[in-house]
This record gives sequence, C-alpha cells and structure tokens, in this order.
Amino acid sequence: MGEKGKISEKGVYLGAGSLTLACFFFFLFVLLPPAYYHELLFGRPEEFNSALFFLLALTGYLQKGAWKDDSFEHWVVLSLVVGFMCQAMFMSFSHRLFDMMFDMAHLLKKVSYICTLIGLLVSMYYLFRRAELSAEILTKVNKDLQKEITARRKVEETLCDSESRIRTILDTAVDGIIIIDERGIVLMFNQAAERIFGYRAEEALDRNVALLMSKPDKSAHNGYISNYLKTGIKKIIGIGREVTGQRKDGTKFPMELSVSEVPLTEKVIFTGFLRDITDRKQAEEKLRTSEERLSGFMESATDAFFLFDSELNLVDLNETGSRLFGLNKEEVVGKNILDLSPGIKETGRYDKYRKVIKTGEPLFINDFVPHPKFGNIHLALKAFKAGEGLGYIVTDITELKKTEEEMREALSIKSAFTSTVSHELRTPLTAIKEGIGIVLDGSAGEINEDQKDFLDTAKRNVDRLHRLINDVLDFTKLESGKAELRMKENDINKTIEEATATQKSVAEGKGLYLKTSLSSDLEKIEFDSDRIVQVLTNLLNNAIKFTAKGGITVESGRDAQEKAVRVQVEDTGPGIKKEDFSKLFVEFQQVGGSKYRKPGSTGLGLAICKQIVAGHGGRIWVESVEGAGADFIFTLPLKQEG
Amino acid sequence: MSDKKRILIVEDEPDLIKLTVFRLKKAGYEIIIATDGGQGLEMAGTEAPDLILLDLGLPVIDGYEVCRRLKDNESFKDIPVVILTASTSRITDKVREIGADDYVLKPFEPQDLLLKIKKFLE
Repeated sequence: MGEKGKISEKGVYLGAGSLTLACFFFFLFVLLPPAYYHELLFGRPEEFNSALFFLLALTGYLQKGAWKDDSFEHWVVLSLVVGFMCQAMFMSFSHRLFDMMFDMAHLLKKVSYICTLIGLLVSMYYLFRRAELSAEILTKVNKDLQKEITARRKVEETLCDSESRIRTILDTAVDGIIIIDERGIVLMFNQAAERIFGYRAEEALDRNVALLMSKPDKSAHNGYISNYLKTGIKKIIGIGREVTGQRKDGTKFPMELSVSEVPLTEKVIFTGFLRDITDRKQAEEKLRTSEERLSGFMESATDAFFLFDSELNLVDLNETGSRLFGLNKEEVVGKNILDLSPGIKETGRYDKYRKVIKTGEPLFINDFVPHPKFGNIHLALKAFKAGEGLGYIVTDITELKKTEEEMREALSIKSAFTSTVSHELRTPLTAIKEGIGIVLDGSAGEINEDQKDFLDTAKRNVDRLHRLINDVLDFTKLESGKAELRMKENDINKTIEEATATQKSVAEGKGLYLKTSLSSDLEKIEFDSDRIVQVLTNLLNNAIKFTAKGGITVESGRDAQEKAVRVQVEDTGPGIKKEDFSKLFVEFQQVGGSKYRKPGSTGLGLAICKQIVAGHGGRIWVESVEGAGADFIFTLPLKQEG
Repeated sequence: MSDKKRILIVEDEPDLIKLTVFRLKKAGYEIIIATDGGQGLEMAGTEAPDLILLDLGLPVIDGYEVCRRLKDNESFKDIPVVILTASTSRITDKVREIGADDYVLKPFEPQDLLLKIKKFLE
C-alpha cells in the first residue's frame, strides 16, 4: 500500500467536521422535508450521510492498520461495520416510525454501541492487566536491582578493604612508594617515602615529584615522562637505576629507583619504588676499598695465594703465585687443580684439600716438595676454606730450608765442638787432679802444711774448672736441643726426697736445717727425673751456699693458676733485690757483685735450671724480699689430656 | 803375694796410666796395662785379669767394641768391666747397652774409683 492511497487523519477529521457543520446549517435554514418519504425507495435518504461517515472511519481505521495491534480497535471496527450496515441498509429504507427497517436499524445501532462498549471493557481489562503485569515486572526488576545493589556494595566493601589492605602494605613497605600522574603530580606517598625524604604525605601530595629530586634530575624528569608518553622510550621507567634524591632538609642521597607504568582507563599513572641506598653505597665503597687493599696485599705479598671454587677449579691467584709456579694467569684460571698440579692425588694432598672444604678445618703442610716440573723447591702451605671453595697460601721455603739446614749444621758443629773440647779438657784435667790428689793425700811421701795448703787451693780450682766444663757442656746441649728429656711418669715427691737426701749432710754440716713439706695428693706427672734432680740440687746448693743461719724448706703443691705442679725451695738467706730477678737466670750473670759471689760457682747453674724447666714446658722464677730470704719456684705442667 | 787381685787397665793416655797405676798399686792391686783395644782384648785372654778398667776412646778397637766382645765371649763375660770415660752424654744408657758393669767419670775422685773396684773384688 503506497502513501498515495492513504487518507490522512487530518483529512478524515476535516471532512467529517465540515460535513457535520454543513448538515447543521442545512437543517437550520432549509425547510425540513418530512422525515419519511413513503413514496421513495429510500424512506430516509439522509441516513446515508451517517453511513458514509461510518464507512470513512472504517476505511481510515483499516488503512491505518492500528486495529491489528489492539483488541479495542477490533471492537471499534466491528462497531463501525455494524453502524455502517445499520445506516446504509436499514435506516435508509425505513419509511415510517417503528416499521421493521426502523427497528432493525436501531437494533443494529445498539449492537454497534455494545461492540464499542465491549471493546472499551476489553481494552480496560487489558489495561488493568497490563498495569498489573507492569507492577509484577517492576517488583521483579526492583528485586534484581536490590540484588545488584547489594552485590555492588559488597564489591565496594571489598574494594574498600583491599584498598586499605594495599594502603597498609604500601605503608609497611620498606621501600618508598610514590605514585604520580602523567604530569608528575604526586598522588600517593607512603610512610617509607616520608621517612626517606623527610616530607609528610600531606606536604608531598599534589605537588610535583621534582620536589624530591636534586638539580640535574629535577629539570630532566618532566622531560622523561612526556618523552616516554610520546615515544615510549624509557628513561627511568621499569629500569632499576641509581639517582640522587633530595630530602626536605636539602641533603642529597643516592637512591635506587624503579618506575612502572600503570595504564588506567582514562589516563596513565606511574608507580615509583625507591630505596635509600646510602648505607649500601657506603658498604659497597668500604668493600671496594677493602677489596682493593686486599688485592694490593695479595699482589704485593711474597707468599703465593690461590683461590679455588668448590670443585677445586682455580678462581684466582696472585702475582707471586704465577711467578713461583711459572703459570700464566689468563691460561690457568678456570682449570682444575688436578690439571694444574699433577701428582697431588698420589701424594694425598688432593683428598686433604677436599677435606678442608668439607670440614672447614684449616690444613698446614710444613714442608713439601711439589711436582718436579715446578723445579726443586720446598714449600709450606696453609689451606683454608674460602667461601664454598678453598684458598691456600704457599710460601717458598727453599731458602729458609737451606738456612735452617745450615743453622742446624752450625749448631751441630758447635755442639760437637763443645763436646769434643770438654772431653779433651777432661782427660788432662783427670791427670792434673789425680797428680795433685796423690801428692796431697801423702801417697807419694810426706808434705808439709804450706805445701798441703797450696795443693788444696790447686785442687779446689781444678774441681771448679771441672764443674765449669760440665756446666758449659750441659748448657750447650740444652741450648741446641740436643739434650733430649727422658719424660716418664714420675712421683715428684720422690724426686724431691732424692735430691734433698744428697744435700742433707752438706746443710747440716753448715748448721742449717733442710726439711720438706710435700703435698700428698699430687697427680703423677711426666718429667725427666735426672734433670729435675739436677735442678733441685742446683737450687739447694745455692740456698745452702747463701744461707748463714736458719735453713731450707722444699715444698710441693698444686699450682692454683696453671695446670701444673709447683715446687718451691725456700731459704732464710739474705734475699735478692727485685731489680736482679731477671738477671738471675741469664748465663754468666752473677748477681749483686762480691756480696753474693761464692767461690766455685760457674754462673751457669740457674741458666741450666731454666733450660731444663722450660724444656718440660714449665716456668721458673724467684720471689724474694731483700733481707728476708728467697723462694725459688718452678712448675711442671700436668699431663695434657688426649 | 800371688793372691793379689789383678786389674787390667785399657787406656791410651800415658799420664793417666802412670797416675792410676800408682794409685791402684798403692791400694794393693796387681796392674797390667794395655794401650789400645786390640791389645786389651788379647791381654784379657792371656793374663786372666780379675777386673778390667776400660777407657772408651781407644785406638784400633774402641772401648765399646772391646766391652761388647768381652761380654759376648763365654770365657770373659764374668770379668767385671768398669768403664772410665770423659764423655758424659747418655753414659748410663751406653754402659747398659754394651753390658759393662759400672762406670767412673773422668775426672774422678780417687775414692770413688777405689770404692767401685773394691765392690767387685771383695
């Protein structure tokens, strides 16, 4: 159906309106004809007007097609059809009041009204029904809405929770965290950032982040951001790097900064993580200095340094190391010790090194000869665990060994010489002594008193010479370490008794007492009893020699401080000056001039005592107050456990 | 006086021999002298001494060897051997090692020597 054939709504209303007006005026001014024309076919031809009206309305409706949608419209169409039929078919043919046509027409008219009424009712019904439905739908929609609101609120709460969680995380973070927008304005400033920069969050928020930077970075920073946004070239973004920050008080400090970009729907923000690395920088600086110092040490050291990893591959060596072994550093670093030092598996050193790595216990090898390819050298080595690997320090002791050998030889020559000399001296001395003795005791004939006196003097001095020779020999042997001590488990009290017994008569002959005060619960200790008797005899001799009245007491006991047994020889002699204490035990140093010098002493006695006691691992010293006797004390260590 | 005890001195120092001989003769012993180790061993066999005074530092065969050989020989091992020596180092060990019966260190006290000899001969 084209537009052309359609009668417009306006036209219909205008047509109907004008027709109604025309009728009104017509019936107002013309003389009305009788209502019925009995003689004509159409008793009331004017009824066609109404029929035409109905027809027009009907066609209009039908053409408009509105009835298709609505049941009310159907009823209206029906009413129009009925109205049209009433007017056109019955009313027009009525010839008088209440004839059959007249009744039929009115009947149809009523049917038409009823149709309209039904239409209205039906449409009202639907209207209400629809309203009801709408209400239902509305309720449902409301419910959904409610649900949605609840869900959204939940989301909001979660969001709120997670925001406060994030806030907490941000605030407890060790790193400073700053969020800025694309213009560089600070949006977030956490507590660590406050701490680092000295600004409170309120002071930093809404300000440009350049506030936190020092001069060169400050001006460059805004450029970075805009440049990045334009070109995507990252200057700082995403890359952890060191920049200089500036605190509120103006001090500058190094910090490490990494920036990430957070694209949001409408804009881009940047999150910066930063860390004050002043301490780290300082530590790094310190480490670098100490490393430099260390490598300086290593390089200038006359010892060779080698560093291996846990698999014993060479990591580093110093200048001396490459020189000593003729190694080229570039060539050997990274090589395994087995390739570098052939034969170390056979000598067992390889396993020892592995053990050092395993146990962490350092290893000392005092003297070893490396593989012949390194030349005829003697080495000393200290290996230790270095990190997960092994380090060792090698000293070339070839020269030292040679010197040591020479020294040992020299000492041995000296000792042999002394021994020979003493031996050779003894033989003539024996003859002299025996010669004098024979004359002196009258075996070779009577001698007078003067002769006897002179020969006595001669004999005394021969005896002294004899002692001197013995002492010199003894001292030399002790000094050169040739006199081995025969360490055996002994009872010190027995040894004291033994030494005291031989001196008792001498002391008593001088009118002195000699007594012992021995501790009964002493551990047995190991010592060379002959040598300790020698020490005691010497000390007793001295004590007797220098004591005029009173006597000597020998005590034994446990030393409180040292793990040792302590022996003390106490006399009631003149005592010794404090400043002379240290001289006492030095060979040929006789103390106090003529006052303490007694005929026959060699000046070696206490020096020999000191050598013997030291050889036992003990200590000898003197305690004395001048004029109140002297105590000579020595200690002998207890047996070492294990 | 055939019941005099006979002492063999094995010593290479003439002066010492002279003095010792004088001293021991005075004490009533018969003395025979050997001046080296070989002679000493020989005389131990021919002269049948009651005691031997043996120096350690001897020519030809040293005193250690002389002592060892004497003590290894069934017919001589009962003759007491007293070592006379100027060497002091580890002397007790050495004496025990070679099987000697005693020792006297040079220079000796005459009484010491006589006492030790007496100990073996009475």
